Amino acid sequence: MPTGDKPPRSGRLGWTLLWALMIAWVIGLTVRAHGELAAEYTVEGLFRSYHSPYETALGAVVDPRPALALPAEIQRRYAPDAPAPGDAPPTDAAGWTALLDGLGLNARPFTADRWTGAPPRLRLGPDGPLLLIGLFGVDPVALVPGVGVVRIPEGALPPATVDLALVGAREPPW
Amino acid sequence: MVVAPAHHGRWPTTLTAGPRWALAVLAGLLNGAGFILLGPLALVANVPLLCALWGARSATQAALLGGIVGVLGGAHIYGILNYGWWILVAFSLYTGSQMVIYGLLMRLVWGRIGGGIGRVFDVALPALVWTLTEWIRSVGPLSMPASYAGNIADVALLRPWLALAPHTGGLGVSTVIALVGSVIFHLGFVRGAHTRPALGAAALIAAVGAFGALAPPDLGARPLTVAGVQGGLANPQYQAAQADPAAMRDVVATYETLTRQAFDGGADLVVWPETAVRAPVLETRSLRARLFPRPDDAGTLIAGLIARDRDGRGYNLAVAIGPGEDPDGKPGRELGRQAKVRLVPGVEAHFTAGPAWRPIATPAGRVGVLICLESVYPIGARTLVAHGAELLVVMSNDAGFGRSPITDHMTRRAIVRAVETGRWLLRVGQAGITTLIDPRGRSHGALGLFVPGVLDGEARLRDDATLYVRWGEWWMALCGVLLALAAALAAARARRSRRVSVRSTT
Repeated sequence: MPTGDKPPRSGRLGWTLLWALMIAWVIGLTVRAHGELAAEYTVEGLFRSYHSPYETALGAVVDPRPALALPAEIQRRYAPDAPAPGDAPPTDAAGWTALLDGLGLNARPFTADRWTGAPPRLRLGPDGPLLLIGLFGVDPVALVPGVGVVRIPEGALPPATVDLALVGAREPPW
Repeated sequence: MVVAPAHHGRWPTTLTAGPRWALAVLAGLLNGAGFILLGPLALVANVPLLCALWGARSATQAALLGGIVGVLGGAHIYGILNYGWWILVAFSLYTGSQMVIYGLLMRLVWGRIGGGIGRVFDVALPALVWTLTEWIRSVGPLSMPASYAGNIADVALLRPWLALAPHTGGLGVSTVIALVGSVIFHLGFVRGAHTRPALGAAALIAAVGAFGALAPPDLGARPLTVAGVQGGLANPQYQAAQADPAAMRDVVATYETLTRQAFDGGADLVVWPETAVRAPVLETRSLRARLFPRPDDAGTLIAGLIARDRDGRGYNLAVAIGPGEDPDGKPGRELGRQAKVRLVPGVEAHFTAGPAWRPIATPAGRVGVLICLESVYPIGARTLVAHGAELLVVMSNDAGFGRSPITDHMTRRAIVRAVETGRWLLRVGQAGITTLIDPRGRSHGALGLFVPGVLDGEARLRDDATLYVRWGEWWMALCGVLLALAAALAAARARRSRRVSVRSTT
């Protein structure tokens, strides 16, 4: 078989241009693919908007809800027939206790050795309040004001000065 | 001794390795772009590969040139990355392996038959070999079809050629598309003695199009109102529903509201997407009362659910539910069910595969259900119609592909299923795309990605069987015979040349 001759200069430029265009396509497609697969986006559902999940130091925010307010959330989930509480959250343990009493919820200090996901627990600490609503596997799931629904790694609960169990409080599973 | 191929023509056989690789890479990128972005690129995508293979130095070079086309083409299905980077790597190597076969077969046979019949085979061979590689992609436990027919399925201008599918299956359409590339190569780059057979092939392609335009597939006669319920939710919403009861309530309320809208609209058949509600719906009276047809509803619901049997085995299910009660007095009367037969390797390892594809008899007609990936394989739809399905339904959850073009890719494959089998097909996607497709491949309305809603439409039932349904993969059998004949002729010529060479040296 005869070996190939060196192509003329115009031919070499043509092949070089082709390689450049193909490399540009691959780079462009990679950027596009990354944008499509990794981009955060909002899904407009029938009843609310859903934002992309993200990671925080506390845990994985599985359902971002920047407008989440704990008093309203507690009322909606566990005391739907009670009057809606005010917008401003209580600032201390006494205030939270009064709010829970006002909703007709039986709040008692949580003293058990293990928590199996029920009843829900309101924890007040230096980083603010959060409401534990259940377990996902072994990881606690918490409602965090201004953040949303957070899956906290097992054993990584932030410190709390007050830990109240809402005895008997249940929300419908569906 | 290897006989030099009779490669005569304007395109040089003496290209160095650099340009051959450039052309192969170009073919790979064109094939990939055709699969996800611009389907008609399939008509020209392999022309650079043919240029690269023309006069290839060795079988190894031909195999590698073909392989890089397959790897690059497969890598364009990047939407599967969300299921794991290894899936994309494996898929690219998988499609690469089939194109290695392409390169090898072309090297062994192309230009090696000689004479007039040889030139006819030269023009036909790229299409025959492509057909073989595409068929290989559709068979076996780990297969993953990627078809030229799907590329052009939603292109109105090319619909006349799609009309070949009821007779040959989508594979025949892919053969014609690959033949276009071969005609372009032989007319544009080779000419000479190949001009006549190439023009003949062009005339054949035109005749196929004329036939398709003049005798389009029958649309059926018996009307049926259908409604596809699309929740429009992304996977994170389902993951949140596993952690938070409020999120689960949102999912249930979404499907409750949209399903009620569909029944109130008078639909005869209401269809959910795959695994629409991931709660124990079948076992829970309150959920059945909210989600299933009410006693005064006239329609049937095909619900996408997950359920376990008594032994704890989980199934990805389509369950047909009519108005009334089940034997235990729970709301909704089960009419039949179909478990997903073709599970996604690895991703669906926690499910048990269903035993077979069989249509479900409902008051709305005999409904053939394909779940998600099953719609890209010809065998599922063909089996369902062969067993009496009068309408096809694809229930899918493509949310994992995000906003990549893969959902479009999957939808186009569903179009081919509709045309192959001569059935109206309602495709319902959890996150989208939901669309109603007729037996000519036309879409009648669509809901886009991540949009909640109900797609209403009128389908028609058919109970006949297309040639493809009756004869199966006869087209591949014919192409296989022609390929074997070509290989035998090439081998015979090689033997003759060796005998002549031996005589001339003695």
